[in-house]
This record gives sequence, structure tokens and C-alpha cells, in this order.
Amino acid sequence: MKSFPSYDVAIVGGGPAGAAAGAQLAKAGKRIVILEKESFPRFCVGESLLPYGNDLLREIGVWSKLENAGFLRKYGAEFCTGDQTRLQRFWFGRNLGPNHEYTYQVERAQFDLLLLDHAREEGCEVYEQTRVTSLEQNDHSEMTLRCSGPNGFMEIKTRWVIDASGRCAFSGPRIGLKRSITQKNRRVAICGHFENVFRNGGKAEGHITIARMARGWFWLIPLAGNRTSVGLVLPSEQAHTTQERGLDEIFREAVESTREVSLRMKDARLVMPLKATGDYSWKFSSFATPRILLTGDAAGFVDPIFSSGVMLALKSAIRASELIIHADTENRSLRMWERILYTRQVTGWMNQYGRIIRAFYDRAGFEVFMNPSPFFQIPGSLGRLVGGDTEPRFLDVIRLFAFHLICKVQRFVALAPSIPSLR
Amino acid sequence: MPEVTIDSLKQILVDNCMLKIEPSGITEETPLFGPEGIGLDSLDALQIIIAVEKKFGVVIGDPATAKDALQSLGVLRDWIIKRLVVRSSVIN
Repeated sequence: MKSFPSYDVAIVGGGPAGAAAGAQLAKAGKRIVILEKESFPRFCVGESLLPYGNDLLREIGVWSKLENAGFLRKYGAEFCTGDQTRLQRFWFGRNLGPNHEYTYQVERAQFDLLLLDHAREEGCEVYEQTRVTSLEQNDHSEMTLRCSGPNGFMEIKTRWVIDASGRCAFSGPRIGLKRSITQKNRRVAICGHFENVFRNGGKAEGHITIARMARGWFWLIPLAGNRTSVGLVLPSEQAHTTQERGLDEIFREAVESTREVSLRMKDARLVMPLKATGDYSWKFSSFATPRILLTGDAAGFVDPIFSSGVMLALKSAIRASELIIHADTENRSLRMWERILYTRQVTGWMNQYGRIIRAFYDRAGFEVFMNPSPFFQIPGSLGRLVGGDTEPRFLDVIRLFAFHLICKVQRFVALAPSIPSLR
Repeated sequence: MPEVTIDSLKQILVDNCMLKIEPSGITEETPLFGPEGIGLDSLDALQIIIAVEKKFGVVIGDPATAKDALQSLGVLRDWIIKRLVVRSSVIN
């Protein structure tokens, strides 16, 4: 067994959260190792970014690289019913101001590589195809990670661990954290990349299209070139009863019965095998121990409907690295209140989406969402949330509260026109 | 069949509505109705619906759908094109 020198911080996972934390910590002069089980570039879903994430990418120092990487600009989002009777197009520029007028639709293989290369440039040591197999606490200020890589086993000593392992959730179960389901309905996503999918014209070419059916919904995310990421989200009981038919058949049937999608995919060609993933929302009871911090999907998974994944990953990773840098100046581990505050803060960002996600899945909520009342400036506050503003101002909170109230009333009285195809 | 572009749709607005602002100030994302819109009313909406039907042969059915389709010129353009695509594939 080859023994490696010790690091200040070991980061498990080289996706956006891991790369962001690595870049921030390396900039602060820490000795960092990033351990990534795959070999980049690799396929990943979650291609849509949010404009408020731009600020985070600027903070890490990759925004200018992203601007020159040839990704497709995303100026907003579009929500419609599968039968094409209703449609709402959001423009970030109208609600968020000139700094957040657009963001990008990114093929994650390239985007994640760009971020990881940036972390390398900032001075992180990166090991790909290296799987972390165990984590051991030596004393209160040192841990040992065992990993298996292309050159066999290795052992790493580190003072801090950032868990950015994504949905594998490396550390949670190992340090005995409880997992709680934050949304009771389980869902399954079937997705893949296609060519020749019909796109909106003009500036709306880069809009994400979300098509809602009575049960389930589609995402269509246009990417640079001719590619589009298309995904179908279904309640898992529906996917289970139909399991023997296989993914391709379930997917094709759903496309055929959804006008908006079948029309856009009339000449589409699948460029990779379809993939399926479980898609329900959960989180761990705590996101921090004295020396381990959980970031992004490794802390908890939020339903992907509002494209919040990458932004929450970056945001929590930057926050986690700030905490480590601060604690290191005083040569100590994280205090109890810092751990509680970090967990609360990240949970708060996730919960911002929780209620509006429930509104989206609720028939009445969706009817109001498709008809936001022009009064009280509710559409503006909704727009800011759809744009990724996780720290709404006081007035936004009031307006969103009014929105949820209207959704409740809508269940009994049609304040907004009802949408028959969803009933 | 005339091409479905922002300019051809803008021409419909100019021909059928009493515009209170310069047509050059209308982009594909400018809301046509509502508090942030360019001040069109329900009569204008009706005029536009009839003109679109005449020019492109596309019928905008129920009021809720019409309201959505007319939220901006960009939406209207894509809305019409999507319906024309369906028709051409039926003919083929």
C-alpha cells in the first residue's frame, strides 16, 4: 500500500460542488485533493443553469471561461401543458435586472470538465477514476481516506473532508446521519440526448421548455449545436406497473400522447441510450460534523423542476469552503453553532423551492402558476424565484405567501381558469 | 403562405391596432397586454386573432389559450409555427 502525504482538505467528488470548493480553498492557499470516481468528461443530467448562479461562477472565477466556451445562452424558461392549450414564457431580464438577463444551457460533460480544470489550475490535485472506499476518524483533527484508483489502493490523511459526491451520498450513511424524505411522492426520470428537436425561434431558442401532463412532465433543454436534452418524469408507481415494457417503450408512449413534445420531436434522433434515475426529494438530518461538510446533492436532493441543482451545489460548496477557511485561521474544528447554522442555511435555500415545487405538482397550484395574477406583483416575485434567487426580499416573501394562499383557494374556487387536460 | 417572423407579426399589430408606441420599440419579448404591456385591449386582441387566422390559417381557440398565445410576439410566432408544422406533417 502506497502512503500519500497529508492534505488540508480532501474533496470527495469532482462535479460542480467539488470543483467550486476546491478552487475556493486552493485560492486561499490550502493543500487540496479532489477524488473523482469517474473519468472526465462524462455524461450527467442537469444541464440548465439559473441566472443567480452566474454570481457564484464569477466568485469562483470561471464565468469568463464559460462565456467563451460556446454554450447556448438561456434567457428564460417556458412552462406549458402537454396538450398545448396553455403556455407561460418567463424572461429573466424582465424580473431580474440586467446582470441576470441570461445564463447558459450546458452540456454537463463539458461544463463539469471546465470547472474541474479550473480547480486544477488553482492548484488542486485531482485524481480521477479514484473511488473513496472508507473514511476513518484518527483523532479529532485528522481523518484517513482509503481509495482505489487506476494505480491500486492509496491512503490519504486529511484534516477536513468536503463531501461533494452527489447523489451517491458518500459520507451521510458512513457518519450515521438520518435521511428524511422531503416530498412524499416518489418519481422516476427517463432521459437522453437527442438531435433535431424543434426549437423556439429568436432569443427564446435557449429557453428550457417544461411540459406538464396530468401525471408527470417533460423537460426539453436545448444545448449548443443541434442537441437537446429531453427527460420524462413520472410517478414511480406508474413506471413500476409498466416496468416489463422497458424504458424506450414507456418513453415513446409518453411522447406520442403529449402533443407539445411529439411535435417538437417529430424528426428527433436519439444519440445515446436512454437512462433512468429515481427522482424523489430527500435530505440528511445534518450537513456538517466538526470536520466533514456535505455539499450539493450529497446533502440533499431537490426535485429538478426549477433547475436548481447546480446552483445549490455551487452555493453550498462556496459556503462550506468559507467555513473551513475561517475555522483554520483559529486552528480549530467547526463549532456546534456553525454546524447548525450551515445546515439551516442550506436547508433554507432548498426549502425556497420546496413549496413552489409542491404547487407545480398540485393541479390547482399549477393553474395559478400558469395565470399569475398581475396584482401585487406576484409574477415578479415568482420570476425571481424561477431565476434562482434563494434569498428573497421581505416583499417577495409576502407575495409568494399570497401566491400559495391563492393556490389553496384555487382547489375549491377557480380563481384562475381551470386547465381541463390536467383534471 | 407568408413567413412567420417578428416583423410580419408586428405588421399585423400596426395594421389592426391603435398602437400608442413606436413599432420599433416592440421586441419579441415585450408583453402585449397587462400592466407592463404596450396598452392593447381586448378589442385589439380580437382583431389580432382574426388577422392571424386570415394570414396564416391558424385558429386560436378558447380565450385562455388566446391570452397565452398573445403574451408577446415571440410566443405568438412559435405558437403559429408549431401549428403549421403539424399541418405540413399531416399533408406529407
